[in-house]
Amino acid sequence: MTVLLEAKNVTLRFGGVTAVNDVSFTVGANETVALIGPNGAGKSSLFNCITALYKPQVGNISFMGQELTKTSPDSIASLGISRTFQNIELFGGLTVLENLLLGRHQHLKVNLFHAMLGTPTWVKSEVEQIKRAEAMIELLELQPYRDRRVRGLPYGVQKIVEIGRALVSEPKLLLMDEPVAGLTTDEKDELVQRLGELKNELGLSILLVEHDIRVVSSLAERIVVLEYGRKIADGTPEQIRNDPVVIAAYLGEEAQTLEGQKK
Amino acid sequence: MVLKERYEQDLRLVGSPQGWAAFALTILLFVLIPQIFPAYAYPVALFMVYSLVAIGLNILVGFTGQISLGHAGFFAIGAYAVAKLAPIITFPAALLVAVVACAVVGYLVGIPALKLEGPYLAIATSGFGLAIQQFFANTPNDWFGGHGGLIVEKSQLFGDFFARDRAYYYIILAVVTVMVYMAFNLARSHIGRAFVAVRDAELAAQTSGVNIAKIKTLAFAISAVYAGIGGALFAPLLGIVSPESFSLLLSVQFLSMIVIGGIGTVAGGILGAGMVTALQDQLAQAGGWSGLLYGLVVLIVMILEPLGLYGRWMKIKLYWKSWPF
Ligand SMILES: Nc1ncnc2c1ncn2[C@@H]1O[C@H](COP(=O)(O)OP(=O)(O)OP(=O)(O)O)[C@@H](O)[C@H]1O
Ligand SMILES: [Mg+2]
Repeated sequence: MTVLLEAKNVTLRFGGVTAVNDVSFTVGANETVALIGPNGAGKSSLFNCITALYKPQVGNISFMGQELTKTSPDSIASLGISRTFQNIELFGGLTVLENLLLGRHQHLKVNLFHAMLGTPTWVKSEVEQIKRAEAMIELLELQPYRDRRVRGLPYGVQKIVEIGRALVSEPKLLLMDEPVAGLTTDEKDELVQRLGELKNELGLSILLVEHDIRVVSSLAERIVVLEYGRKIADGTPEQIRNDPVVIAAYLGEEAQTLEGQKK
Repeated sequence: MVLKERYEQDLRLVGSPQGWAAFALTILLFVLIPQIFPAYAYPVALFMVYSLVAIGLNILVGFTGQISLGHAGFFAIGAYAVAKLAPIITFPAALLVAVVACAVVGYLVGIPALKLEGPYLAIATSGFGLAIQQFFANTPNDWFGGHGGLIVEKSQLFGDFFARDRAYYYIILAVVTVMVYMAFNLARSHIGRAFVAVRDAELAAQTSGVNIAKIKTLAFAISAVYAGIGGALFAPLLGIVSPESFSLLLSVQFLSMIVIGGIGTVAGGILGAGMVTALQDQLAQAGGWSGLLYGLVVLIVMILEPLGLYGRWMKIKLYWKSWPF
Protein backbone atom coordinates (compact mmCIF):
# COMPACT_ATOMS: atom_id res chain seq x y z
CA MET A 1 0.00 0.00 0.00
CA THR A 2 1.30 3.47 -0.83
CA VAL A 3 1.76 5.69 2.19
CA LEU A 4 -0.27 8.90 2.05
CA LEU A 5 0.44 10.46 5.41
CA GLU A 6 3.52 9.78 7.47
CA ALA A 7 4.19 11.22 10.91
CA LYS A 8 7.71 10.76 12.26
CA ASN A 9 8.71 11.32 15.88
CA VAL A 10 6.17 14.09 16.39
CA THR A 11 6.48 15.85 19.74
CA LEU A 12 4.28 18.75 20.77
CA ARG A 13 4.61 20.57 24.09
CA PHE A 14 2.53 23.23 25.78
CA GLY A 15 4.77 24.68 28.45
CA GLY A 16 5.31 21.76 30.80
CA VAL A 17 2.67 19.53 29.20
CA THR A 18 3.81 17.15 26.49
CA ALA A 19 0.59 16.65 24.53
CA VAL A 20 2.17 14.46 21.84
CA ASN A 21 5.31 12.53 22.64
CA ASP A 22 7.49 11.04 19.91
CA VAL A 23 4.60 9.66 17.87
CA SER A 24 5.17 7.99 14.50
CA PHE A 25 2.49 6.40 12.34
CA THR A 26 1.25 6.22 8.77
CA VAL A 27 -2.01 6.30 6.86
CA GLY A 28 -2.05 4.49 3.52
CA ALA A 29 -4.03 5.25 0.39
CA ASN A 30 -7.67 4.15 0.79
CA GLU A 31 -6.97 3.13 4.33
CA THR A 32 -9.06 3.97 7.38
CA VAL A 33 -7.06 4.39 10.54
CA ALA A 34 -8.59 5.05 13.93
CA LEU A 35 -6.77 7.05 16.56
CA ILE A 36 -7.97 6.05 20.00
CA GLY A 37 -6.91 6.68 23.57
CA PRO A 38 -8.19 8.00 26.87
CA ASN A 39 -9.16 11.67 27.36
CA GLY A 40 -6.20 13.99 27.08
CA ALA A 41 -4.10 11.39 25.24
CA GLY A 42 -3.21 13.92 22.55
CA LYS A 43 -5.49 12.81 19.71
CA SER A 44 -6.88 16.24 18.89
CA SER A 45 -3.45 17.78 19.30
CA LEU A 46 -2.11 15.38 16.70
CA PHE A 47 -4.93 16.41 14.34
CA ASN A 48 -3.99 20.02 14.87
CA CYS A 49 -0.38 19.21 14.01
CA ILE A 50 -1.44 17.50 10.79
CA THR A 51 -3.58 20.49 9.79
CA ALA A 52 -0.73 22.88 10.67
CA LEU A 53 -2.78 24.65 13.34
CA TYR A 54 -0.08 23.59 15.82
CA LYS A 55 3.61 23.36 15.05
CA PRO A 56 5.27 20.37 16.73
CA GLN A 57 8.62 21.16 18.34
CA VAL A 58 10.13 17.91 17.09
CA GLY A 59 9.38 15.64 14.16
CA ASN A 60 8.00 15.68 10.64
CA ILE A 61 4.65 15.04 9.07
CA SER A 62 4.65 14.44 5.34
CA PHE A 63 1.67 14.11 3.05
CA MET A 64 2.38 12.84 -0.45
CA GLY A 65 5.89 14.19 -0.18
CA GLN A 66 4.81 17.58 1.20
CA GLU A 67 6.10 18.61 4.63
CA LEU A 68 3.07 19.69 6.66
CA THR A 69 4.89 21.12 9.66
CA LYS A 70 6.19 23.91 7.44
CA THR A 71 2.94 24.87 5.72
CA SER A 72 0.12 27.13 6.88
CA PRO A 73 -3.31 25.82 7.89
CA ASP A 74 -4.98 27.55 4.94
CA SER A 75 -2.92 25.61 2.42
CA ILE A 76 -3.82 22.22 3.88
CA ALA A 77 -7.07 22.00 1.93
CA SER A 78 -5.39 22.52 -1.41
CA LEU A 79 -2.96 19.70 -0.61
CA GLY A 80 -5.95 17.39 -0.26
CA ILE A 81 -6.61 17.19 3.47
CA SER A 82 -9.83 18.25 5.13
CA ARG A 83 -11.14 17.78 8.61
CA THR A 84 -13.94 18.08 11.11
CA PHE A 85 -13.57 19.34 14.66
CA GLN A 86 -14.33 17.78 18.02
CA ASN A 87 -16.45 20.78 18.98
CA ILE A 88 -18.40 21.57 15.84
CA GLU A 89 -16.83 24.45 13.97
CA LEU A 90 -19.47 25.60 11.53
CA PHE A 91 -20.22 29.04 10.12
CA GLY A 92 -23.34 29.63 12.17
CA GLY A 93 -24.50 32.71 10.30
CA LEU A 94 -24.36 30.98 6.93
CA THR A 95 -26.83 28.52 5.44
CA VAL A 96 -26.09 24.83 4.97
CA LEU A 97 -25.47 25.45 1.27
CA GLU A 98 -23.12 28.33 2.02
CA ASN A 99 -21.23 26.25 4.58
CA LEU A 100 -20.68 23.60 1.95
CA LEU A 101 -19.64 26.25 -0.55
CA LEU A 102 -16.90 27.26 1.87
CA GLY A 103 -15.68 23.71 1.60
CA ARG A 104 -15.11 24.61 -2.05
CA HIS A 105 -13.24 27.81 -1.22
CA GLN A 106 -9.83 26.48 -2.21
CA HIS A 107 -11.15 25.66 -5.68
CA LEU A 108 -12.29 29.24 -6.29
CA LYS A 109 -9.80 31.21 -8.30
CA VAL A 110 -12.05 34.12 -9.27
CA ASN A 111 -10.78 37.50 -8.13
CA LEU A 112 -12.42 40.33 -6.23
CA PHE A 113 -13.38 42.39 -9.25
CA HIS A 114 -15.21 39.58 -10.99
CA ALA A 115 -17.06 38.95 -7.74
CA MET A 116 -18.00 42.59 -7.18
CA LEU A 117 -19.12 43.09 -10.75
CA GLY A 118 -20.88 39.73 -10.93
CA THR A 119 -19.24 38.96 -14.28
CA PRO A 120 -20.06 35.84 -16.33
CA THR A 121 -16.71 34.42 -15.19
CA TRP A 122 -17.86 34.72 -11.61
CA VAL A 123 -21.30 33.28 -12.36
CA LYS A 124 -19.73 30.33 -14.14
CA SER A 125 -17.41 29.52 -11.28
CA GLU A 126 -20.15 29.98 -8.71
CA VAL A 127 -22.56 27.70 -10.59
CA GLU A 128 -19.82 25.10 -10.76
CA GLN A 129 -19.34 25.21 -6.98
CA ILE A 130 -23.07 25.22 -6.27
CA LYS A 131 -23.45 22.09 -8.37
CA ARG A 132 -20.85 20.29 -6.28
CA ALA A 133 -22.35 21.50 -3.04
CA GLU A 134 -25.81 20.53 -4.23
CA ALA A 135 -24.60 17.02 -5.04
CA MET A 136 -23.20 16.72 -1.52
CA ILE A 137 -26.48 17.96 -0.05
CA GLU A 138 -28.27 15.22 -1.95
CA LEU A 139 -25.73 12.58 -0.96
CA LEU A 140 -26.08 13.41 2.72
CA GLU A 141 -29.83 13.98 2.46
CA LEU A 142 -29.60 17.53 3.72
CA GLN A 143 -32.20 18.93 1.29
CA PRO A 144 -34.67 20.01 4.01
CA TYR A 145 -31.98 22.18 5.56
CA ARG A 146 -30.38 23.56 2.38
CA ASP A 147 -31.26 27.21 2.94
CA ARG A 148 -31.49 27.16 6.72
CA ARG A 149 -28.88 28.92 8.81
CA VAL A 150 -26.65 26.40 10.50
CA ARG A 151 -26.98 28.07 13.88
CA GLY A 152 -30.03 26.53 15.45
CA LEU A 153 -30.07 23.31 13.42
CA PRO A 154 -30.24 20.06 15.43
CA TYR A 155 -26.87 18.83 16.69
CA GLY A 156 -26.97 15.68 14.59
CA VAL A 157 -27.61 17.67 11.43
CA GLN A 158 -24.74 20.03 12.24
CA LYS A 159 -22.40 17.06 12.60
CA ILE A 160 -23.39 15.89 9.11
CA VAL A 161 -23.03 19.37 7.63
CA GLU A 162 -19.51 19.54 8.99
CA ILE A 163 -18.62 16.23 7.39
CA GLY A 164 -20.23 17.45 4.17
CA ARG A 165 -18.14 20.60 4.21
CA ALA A 166 -15.01 18.50 4.61
CA LEU A 167 -16.00 16.05 1.87
CA VAL A 168 -17.09 18.59 -0.71
CA SER A 169 -13.54 19.91 -0.93
CA GLU A 170 -12.66 16.54 -2.50
CA PRO A 171 -9.92 15.56 -0.08
CA LYS A 172 -7.63 12.59 -0.43
CA LEU A 173 -7.44 12.35 3.34
CA LEU A 174 -10.34 13.08 5.64
CA LEU A 175 -9.68 13.71 9.34
CA MET A 176 -12.66 13.34 11.66
CA ASP A 177 -12.43 14.19 15.34
CA GLU A 178 -15.17 12.23 17.12
CA PRO A 179 -17.74 12.34 14.29
CA VAL A 180 -20.45 10.40 16.11
CA ALA A 181 -20.01 11.86 19.61
CA GLY A 182 -23.32 13.14 20.92
CA LEU A 183 -25.44 11.33 18.33
CA THR A 184 -28.20 8.86 19.18
CA THR A 185 -27.57 5.19 18.49
CA ASP A 186 -29.73 5.32 15.36
CA GLU A 187 -27.95 8.37 14.06
CA LYS A 188 -24.62 6.70 14.77
CA ASP A 189 -25.50 3.56 12.83
CA GLU A 190 -26.72 5.58 9.91
CA LEU A 191 -23.63 7.77 9.81
CA VAL A 192 -21.27 4.82 10.10
CA GLN A 193 -22.98 3.05 7.23
CA ARG A 194 -22.87 6.19 5.13
CA LEU A 195 -19.19 6.80 5.88
CA GLY A 196 -18.40 3.22 4.90
CA GLU A 197 -20.13 3.70 1.56
CA LEU A 198 -18.58 7.09 0.91
CA LYS A 199 -15.13 5.83 1.62
CA ASN A 200 -15.37 3.18 -1.07
CA GLU A 201 -17.15 5.45 -3.51
CA LEU A 202 -14.71 8.33 -3.21
CA GLY A 203 -11.54 6.29 -2.73
CA LEU A 204 -10.86 8.18 0.45
CA SER A 205 -8.33 7.72 3.21
CA ILE A 206 -9.70 8.41 6.66
CA LEU A 207 -8.05 9.17 9.96
CA LEU A 208 -10.60 9.02 12.68
CA VAL A 209 -10.63 9.86 16.38
CA GLU A 210 -13.41 8.02 18.13
CA HIS A 211 -14.26 6.72 21.56
CA ASP A 212 -17.14 4.54 20.43
CA ILE A 213 -15.48 1.16 20.00
CA ARG A 214 -18.31 -0.19 17.82
CA VAL A 215 -17.80 2.63 15.35
CA VAL A 216 -14.06 2.14 15.39
CA SER A 217 -14.23 -1.58 14.74
CA SER A 218 -16.73 -1.28 11.93
CA LEU A 219 -14.84 1.46 10.06
CA ALA A 220 -11.14 1.10 10.79
CA GLU A 221 -8.74 -1.29 9.17
CA ARG A 222 -6.04 -0.28 11.57
CA ILE A 223 -5.97 1.30 15.01
CA VAL A 224 -3.33 3.51 16.60
CA VAL A 225 -3.56 3.82 20.37
CA LEU A 226 -2.27 6.86 22.27
CA GLU A 227 -1.84 7.22 26.00
CA TYR A 228 -0.40 10.32 27.67
CA GLY A 229 0.82 11.53 24.29
CA ARG A 230 2.70 8.31 23.51
CA LYS A 231 1.81 5.68 20.95
CA ILE A 232 1.33 2.44 22.87
CA ALA A 233 -0.03 0.22 20.10
CA ASP A 234 -0.61 0.10 16.34
CA GLY A 235 -2.34 -2.79 14.58
CA THR A 236 -5.52 -4.36 13.24
CA PRO A 237 -8.65 -4.17 15.41
CA GLU A 238 -8.07 -7.84 16.21
CA GLN A 239 -4.52 -7.23 17.40
CA ILE A 240 -5.52 -4.17 19.41
CA ARG A 241 -8.35 -5.97 21.19
CA ASN A 242 -5.91 -8.57 22.43
CA ASP A 243 -3.01 -6.27 23.18
CA PRO A 244 -2.20 -6.47 26.90
CA VAL A 245 -0.75 -2.96 26.97
CA VAL A 246 -3.96 -1.50 25.50
CA ILE A 247 -6.11 -3.56 27.82
CA ALA A 248 -4.08 -2.32 30.75
CA ALA A 249 -4.45 1.32 29.62
CA TYR A 250 -8.20 1.01 29.22
CA LEU A 251 -8.68 -1.22 32.26
CA GLY A 252 -6.77 1.34 34.27
CA GLU A 253 -9.21 3.95 33.09
CA GLU A 254 -12.20 1.76 33.80
CA ALA A 255 -10.88 0.86 37.23
CA GLN A 256 -10.62 4.59 37.94
CA THR A 257 -14.18 5.25 36.82
CA LEU A 258 -15.40 2.29 38.83
CA GLU A 259 -13.69 3.64 41.89
CA GLY A 260 -15.17 7.02 41.19
CA GLN A 261 -18.63 5.49 40.98
CA LYS A 262 -18.20 3.67 44.28
CA LYS A 263 -17.62 7.00 46.02
CA MET B 1 -28.89 21.69 -18.22
CA VAL B 2 -32.17 22.57 -16.57
CA LEU B 3 -30.47 22.55 -13.19
CA LYS B 4 -27.68 24.76 -14.40
CA GLU B 5 -30.13 27.39 -15.55
CA ARG B 6 -31.84 27.31 -12.21
CA TYR B 7 -28.59 28.00 -10.38
CA GLU B 8 -27.82 30.89 -12.68
CA GLN B 9 -31.22 32.29 -11.94
CA ASP B 10 -30.57 31.88 -8.23
CA LEU B 11 -27.48 33.99 -8.67
CA ARG B 12 -29.32 36.97 -10.11
CA LEU B 13 -29.55 39.77 -7.58
CA VAL B 14 -33.07 40.56 -8.72
CA GLY B 15 -34.96 37.43 -9.67
CA SER B 16 -38.72 37.85 -9.63
CA PRO B 17 -40.90 40.30 -11.58
CA GLN B 18 -41.93 41.85 -8.26
CA GLY B 19 -38.26 42.31 -7.48
CA TRP B 20 -37.72 44.13 -10.76
CA ALA B 21 -40.75 46.29 -10.15
CA ALA B 22 -39.51 47.25 -6.69
CA PHE B 23 -36.06 47.96 -8.10
CA ALA B 24 -37.43 50.13 -10.92
CA LEU B 25 -39.69 52.03 -8.53
CA THR B 26 -36.82 52.70 -6.13
CA ILE B 27 -34.61 54.06 -8.88
CA LEU B 28 -37.48 56.13 -10.25
CA LEU B 29 -38.20 57.56 -6.83
CA PHE B 30 -34.58 58.58 -6.31
CA VAL B 31 -34.43 60.10 -9.79
CA LEU B 32 -37.59 62.10 -9.22
CA ILE B 33 -36.93 63.39 -5.71
CA PRO B 34 -35.04 66.57 -6.72
CA GLN B 35 -37.83 67.37 -9.21
CA ILE B 36 -40.81 66.66 -6.98
CA PHE B 37 -39.44 67.43 -3.53
CA PRO B 38 -36.49 69.78 -4.11
CA ALA B 39 -36.37 70.47 -0.38
CA TYR B 40 -35.47 66.85 0.23
CA ALA B 41 -32.70 66.70 -2.34
CA TYR B 42 -30.03 67.64 0.19
CA PRO B 43 -30.98 65.24 3.01
CA VAL B 44 -31.51 62.41 0.53
CA ALA B 45 -28.11 63.09 -1.03
CA LEU B 46 -26.62 63.03 2.45
CA PHE B 47 -28.40 59.76 3.13
CA MET B 48 -26.92 58.23 -0.02
CA VAL B 49 -23.43 59.38 0.98
CA TYR B 50 -23.82 57.97 4.48
CA SER B 51 -25.23 54.72 3.21
CA LEU B 52 -21.91 54.06 1.45
CA VAL B 53 -20.07 54.50 4.72
CA ALA B 54 -22.58 52.30 6.54
CA ILE B 55 -22.26 49.58 3.90
CA GLY B 56 -18.48 49.70 4.24
CA LEU B 57 -18.60 49.64 8.01
CA ASN B 58 -21.04 46.74 7.93
CA ILE B 59 -18.66 44.73 5.76
CA LEU B 60 -16.04 45.17 8.45
CA VAL B 61 -18.11 44.95 11.63
CA GLY B 62 -21.08 42.88 10.55
CA PHE B 63 -19.40 40.48 8.14
CA THR B 64 -15.92 39.93 9.55
CA GLY B 65 -16.64 40.87 13.16
CA GLN B 66 -13.90 43.50 13.40
CA ILE B 67 -15.11 46.69 15.04
CA SER B 68 -14.10 50.20 13.99
CA LEU B 69 -14.59 53.50 15.73
CA GLY B 70 -12.32 55.21 13.25
CA HIS B 71 -14.33 55.35 10.06
CA ALA B 72 -14.57 59.13 10.26
CA GLY B 73 -10.86 58.93 9.45
CA PHE B 74 -11.39 57.17 6.12
CA PHE B 75 -14.34 59.46 5.43
CA ALA B 76 -12.01 62.43 6.02
CA ILE B 77 -9.33 61.05 3.71
CA GLY B 78 -11.88 60.81 0.90
CA ALA B 79 -13.23 64.28 1.59
CA TYR B 80 -9.83 65.93 1.75
CA ALA B 81 -8.62 64.12 -1.36
CA VAL B 82 -11.44 65.74 -3.31
CA ALA B 83 -11.26 69.12 -1.57
CA LYS B 84 -7.53 69.46 -2.18
CA LEU B 85 -6.98 67.62 -5.43
CA ALA B 86 -10.17 67.88 -7.47
CA PRO B 87 -9.54 71.53 -8.44
CA ILE B 88 -6.12 70.48 -9.72
CA ILE B 89 -6.66 67.05 -11.28
CA THR B 90 -10.47 66.94 -11.83
CA PHE B 91 -13.09 65.26 -9.70
CA PRO B 92 -12.91 61.73 -11.18
CA ALA B 93 -9.15 61.65 -10.75
CA ALA B 94 -9.45 62.91 -7.18
CA LEU B 95 -12.08 60.24 -6.52
CA LEU B 96 -9.62 57.66 -7.78
CA VAL B 97 -6.92 59.04 -5.47
CA ALA B 98 -9.40 58.78 -2.59
CA VAL B 99 -10.09 55.14 -3.45
CA VAL B 100 -6.43 54.20 -3.67
CA ALA B 101 -5.46 56.16 -0.55
CA CYS B 102 -8.25 54.60 1.50
CA ALA B 103 -7.49 51.11 0.21
CA VAL B 104 -3.84 51.46 1.21
CA VAL B 105 -4.50 53.10 4.58
CA GLY B 106 -7.35 50.65 5.31
CA TYR B 107 -5.07 47.73 4.54
CA LEU B 108 -2.33 49.18 6.78
CA VAL B 109 -4.74 49.73 9.67
CA GLY B 110 -5.96 46.18 9.11
CA ILE B 111 -2.55 44.68 9.85
CA PRO B 112 -2.24 45.64 13.54
CA ALA B 113 -5.99 45.04 13.83
CA LEU B 114 -5.31 41.33 13.21
CA LYS B 115 -3.94 41.11 16.72
CA LEU B 116 -6.74 43.07 18.40
CA GLU B 117 -10.31 42.24 19.24
CA GLY B 118 -13.45 43.80 20.64
CA PRO B 119 -12.89 46.77 22.94
CA TYR B 120 -9.16 46.84 22.19
CA LEU B 121 -9.78 47.18 18.48
CA ALA B 122 -12.48 49.78 19.11
CA ILE B 123 -10.05 51.96 21.05
CA ALA B 124 -7.20 51.43 18.59
CA THR B 125 -9.35 52.42 15.61
CA SER B 126 -10.74 55.43 17.44
CA GLY B 127 -7.11 56.44 17.91
CA PHE B 128 -6.63 56.15 14.17
CA GLY B 129 -9.64 58.38 13.54
CA LEU B 130 -8.33 60.96 15.94
CA ALA B 131 -4.86 60.87 14.39
CA ILE B 132 -6.30 61.49 10.91
CA GLN B 133 -8.35 64.40 12.20
CA GLN B 134 -5.27 65.92 13.83
CA PHE B 135 -3.20 65.28 10.73
CA PHE B 136 -5.51 67.34 8.52
CA ALA B 137 -5.84 70.07 11.14
CA ASN B 138 -2.12 70.44 11.75
CA THR B 139 -0.38 69.81 8.43
CA PRO B 140 2.49 72.32 8.07
CA ASN B 141 1.63 75.58 6.26
CA ASP B 142 -2.06 74.67 6.61
CA TRP B 143 -1.71 72.68 3.43
CA PHE B 144 -5.13 71.18 4.16
CA GLY B 145 -6.53 74.45 5.36
CA GLY B 146 -5.68 73.91 9.03
CA HIS B 147 -8.48 74.12 11.54
CA GLY B 148 -10.55 76.26 9.21
CA GLY B 149 -10.60 73.63 6.48
CA LEU B 150 -11.00 73.95 2.73
CA ILE B 151 -13.79 75.37 0.63
CA VAL B 152 -15.05 73.11 -2.16
CA GLU B 153 -16.62 74.92 -5.08
CA LYS B 154 -18.90 72.73 -7.15
CA SER B 155 -18.77 75.16 -10.08
CA GLN B 156 -15.02 74.86 -10.13
CA LEU B 157 -15.21 71.06 -10.16
CA PHE B 158 -18.08 70.32 -12.46
CA GLY B 159 -18.60 73.44 -14.52
CA ASP B 160 -21.75 75.47 -14.27
CA PHE B 161 -24.20 72.73 -15.14
CA PHE B 162 -23.38 70.28 -12.36
CA ALA B 163 -22.71 73.09 -9.95
CA ARG B 164 -26.44 73.26 -9.42
CA ASP B 165 -27.37 71.20 -6.39
CA ARG B 166 -29.85 69.12 -8.34
CA ALA B 167 -27.29 68.13 -10.91
CA TYR B 168 -24.74 67.14 -8.30
CA TYR B 169 -27.42 65.00 -6.69
CA TYR B 170 -27.41 62.84 -9.81
CA ILE B 171 -23.66 62.38 -9.70
CA ILE B 172 -24.05 61.07 -6.17
CA LEU B 173 -26.95 58.86 -7.21
CA ALA B 174 -24.92 57.34 -10.04
CA VAL B 175 -21.84 56.59 -7.93
CA VAL B 176 -23.89 55.24 -5.02
CA THR B 177 -25.97 53.00 -7.30
CA VAL B 178 -22.83 51.42 -8.72
CA MET B 179 -21.26 50.97 -5.28
CA VAL B 180 -24.43 49.48 -3.79
CA TYR B 181 -24.68 47.06 -6.70
CA MET B 182 -21.09 45.97 -6.11
CA ALA B 183 -21.71 45.59 -2.39
CA PHE B 184 -24.64 43.25 -2.96
CA ASN B 185 -22.51 41.25 -5.36
CA LEU B 186 -19.62 41.10 -2.94
CA ALA B 187 -21.82 40.05 -0.03
CA ARG B 188 -23.16 36.95 -1.74
CA SER B 189 -19.87 36.02 -3.45
CA HIS B 190 -17.27 33.60 -2.16
CA ILE B 191 -15.44 36.58 -0.67
CA GLY B 192 -18.49 37.70 1.28
CA ARG B 193 -18.89 34.14 2.52
CA ALA B 194 -15.26 34.04 3.58
CA PHE B 195 -15.76 37.29 5.55
CA VAL B 196 -18.55 35.66 7.55
CA ALA B 197 -16.60 32.43 7.87
CA VAL B 198 -13.67 34.09 9.66
CA ARG B 199 -16.17 35.76 11.98
CA ASP B 200 -18.04 32.57 12.86
CA ALA B 201 -15.33 29.92 12.97
CA GLU B 202 -11.82 31.06 12.31
CA LEU B 203 -10.20 27.63 12.57
CA ALA B 204 -12.61 25.99 10.16
CA ALA B 205 -12.28 28.91 7.78
CA GLN B 206 -8.53 28.37 7.79
CA THR B 207 -8.68 24.65 7.19
CA SER B 208 -11.16 25.33 4.38
CA GLY B 209 -8.46 27.35 2.67
CA VAL B 210 -9.25 30.91 3.78
CA ASN B 211 -6.16 32.98 4.51
CA ILE B 212 -7.28 34.81 7.65
CA ALA B 213 -4.80 37.67 7.49
CA LYS B 214 -5.52 38.27 3.82
CA ILE B 215 -9.29 38.23 4.13
CA LYS B 216 -9.40 40.43 7.24
CA THR B 217 -7.09 43.06 5.80
CA LEU B 218 -9.06 42.90 2.55
CA ALA B 219 -12.24 43.61 4.52
CA PHE B 220 -10.53 46.59 6.13
CA ALA B 221 -9.40 47.93 2.76
CA ILE B 222 -12.81 47.52 1.11
CA SER B 223 -14.54 49.00 4.12
CA ALA B 224 -12.19 51.99 4.03
CA VAL B 225 -12.78 52.48 0.30
CA TYR B 226 -16.55 52.65 0.82
CA ALA B 227 -16.11 55.19 3.60
CA GLY B 228 -13.60 57.11 1.47
CA ILE B 229 -15.92 57.34 -1.54
CA GLY B 230 -18.60 58.53 0.86
CA GLY B 231 -16.24 61.26 2.04
CA ALA B 232 -15.28 62.15 -1.51
CA LEU B 233 -18.93 62.68 -2.44
CA PHE B 234 -19.58 64.48 0.83
CA ALA B 235 -17.02 67.25 0.24
CA PRO B 236 -18.73 69.01 -2.71
CA LEU B 237 -22.15 68.33 -1.19
CA LEU B 238 -21.32 70.24 1.98
CA GLY B 239 -19.09 72.74 0.21
CA ILE B 240 -16.58 72.86 3.05
CA VAL B 241 -14.24 70.29 4.54
CA SER B 242 -12.96 71.01 8.01
CA PRO B 243 -11.39 68.80 10.69
CA GLU B 244 -14.16 69.29 13.20
CA SER B 245 -16.61 67.45 10.91
CA PHE B 246 -14.61 64.24 11.27
CA SER B 247 -14.72 63.72 15.01
CA LEU B 248 -15.16 60.56 17.04
CA LEU B 249 -18.84 61.45 17.23
CA LEU B 250 -19.14 60.90 13.48
CA SER B 251 -17.55 57.46 13.80
CA VAL B 252 -20.03 56.63 16.56
CA GLN B 253 -22.86 57.79 14.32
CA PHE B 254 -21.65 55.51 11.54
CA LEU B 255 -21.62 52.62 13.97
CA SER B 256 -25.10 53.48 15.21
CA MET B 257 -26.34 53.38 11.60
CA ILE B 258 -25.45 49.74 11.15
CA VAL B 259 -26.65 48.77 14.61
CA ILE B 260 -30.00 50.46 14.01
CA GLY B 261 -30.32 49.22 10.44
CA GLY B 262 -29.09 45.70 10.99
CA ILE B 263 -25.65 44.22 11.46
CA GLY B 264 -24.22 41.99 8.78
CA THR B 265 -26.35 42.83 5.74
CA VAL B 266 -25.89 45.38 2.97
CA ALA B 267 -29.54 46.39 3.18
CA GLY B 268 -29.21 46.91 6.94
CA GLY B 269 -26.51 49.53 6.42
CA ILE B 270 -28.65 51.41 3.91
CA LEU B 271 -31.73 51.35 6.12
CA GLY B 272 -29.73 52.51 9.13
CA ALA B 273 -28.15 55.35 7.18
CA GLY B 274 -31.62 56.42 6.08
CA MET B 275 -33.03 56.27 9.58
CA VAL B 276 -30.17 58.20 11.18
CA THR B 277 -30.07 60.86 8.46
CA ALA B 278 -33.84 61.34 8.62
CA LEU B 279 -33.75 61.56 12.41
CA GLN B 280 -31.03 64.17 12.37
CA ASP B 281 -32.77 66.14 9.68
CA GLN B 282 -36.04 66.18 11.59
CA LEU B 283 -34.53 66.68 15.01
CA ALA B 284 -32.35 69.57 13.87
CA GLN B 285 -35.45 71.70 14.30
CA ALA B 286 -35.64 70.75 17.96
CA GLY B 287 -32.55 72.88 18.59
CA GLY B 288 -30.78 72.15 21.84
CA TRP B 289 -32.97 69.13 22.54
CA SER B 290 -32.04 67.35 19.30
CA GLY B 291 -29.21 65.34 20.88
CA LEU B 292 -31.42 64.12 23.68
CA LEU B 293 -34.27 63.21 21.35
CA TYR B 294 -31.89 61.44 18.99
CA GLY B 295 -30.53 59.36 21.85
CA LEU B 296 -34.01 58.49 23.02
CA VAL B 297 -35.19 57.37 19.59
CA VAL B 298 -32.10 55.23 19.10
CA LEU B 299 -32.66 53.65 22.49
CA ILE B 300 -36.29 52.89 21.74
CA VAL B 301 -35.50 51.39 18.34
CA MET B 302 -32.85 49.14 19.87
CA ILE B 303 -35.16 47.97 22.65
CA LEU B 304 -37.99 47.22 20.25
CA GLU B 305 -35.85 45.77 17.51
CA PRO B 306 -32.51 44.38 18.68
CA LEU B 307 -31.84 42.96 15.20
CA GLY B 308 -32.25 46.38 13.61
CA LEU B 309 -34.67 47.57 10.99
CA TYR B 310 -33.64 44.96 8.48
CA GLY B 311 -34.38 42.24 11.02
CA ARG B 312 -37.89 43.63 11.41
CA TRP B 313 -38.31 43.72 7.63
CA MET B 314 -37.30 40.07 7.31
CA LYS B 315 -39.80 39.11 10.00
CA ILE B 316 -42.58 40.97 8.19
CA LYS B 317 -41.59 39.29 4.94
CA LEU B 318 -41.61 35.86 6.55
CA TYR B 319 -44.97 36.58 8.11
CA TRP B 320 -46.54 37.41 4.77
CA LYS B 321 -44.86 34.50 3.07
CA SER B 322 -46.41 32.04 5.47
CA TRP B 323 -49.73 33.86 5.51
CA PRO B 324 -52.49 32.73 5.92
CA PHE B 325 -51.16 29.65 7.69
N1 LIG C 1 -3.94 24.79 23.22
C1 LIG C 1 -3.52 24.09 24.29
N2 LIG C 1 -2.85 24.71 25.28
C2 LIG C 1 -2.40 23.99 26.35
N3 LIG C 1 -2.58 22.70 26.50
C3 LIG C 1 -3.23 22.02 25.55
C4 LIG C 1 -3.74 22.68 24.38
N4 LIG C 1 -4.34 21.77 23.60
C5 LIG C 1 -4.24 20.60 24.24
N5 LIG C 1 -3.57 20.74 25.40
C6 LIG C 1 -3.25 19.66 26.35
O1 LIG C 1 -2.69 18.62 25.62
C7 LIG C 1 -3.15 17.37 26.12
C8 LIG C 1 -3.79 16.57 25.02
O2 LIG C 1 -5.02 17.18 24.69
P1 LIG C 1 -5.90 16.73 23.44
O3 LIG C 1 -7.02 17.65 23.33
O4 LIG C 1 -5.03 16.55 22.27
O5 LIG C 1 -6.42 15.32 23.96
P2 LIG C 1 -7.47 14.34 23.29
O6 LIG C 1 -6.80 13.04 23.15
O7 LIG C 1 -8.05 14.94 22.08
O8 LIG C 1 -8.56 14.24 24.44
P3 LIG C 1 -10.16 14.13 24.32
O9 LIG C 1 -10.47 12.69 24.14
O10 LIG C 1 -10.61 14.62 25.66
O11 LIG C 1 -10.60 14.98 23.21
C9 LIG C 1 -4.08 17.67 27.28
O12 LIG C 1 -3.36 17.56 28.48
C10 LIG C 1 -4.48 19.09 27.02
O13 LIG C 1 -4.75 19.76 28.23
MG1 LIG D 1 -9.87 15.55 21.49
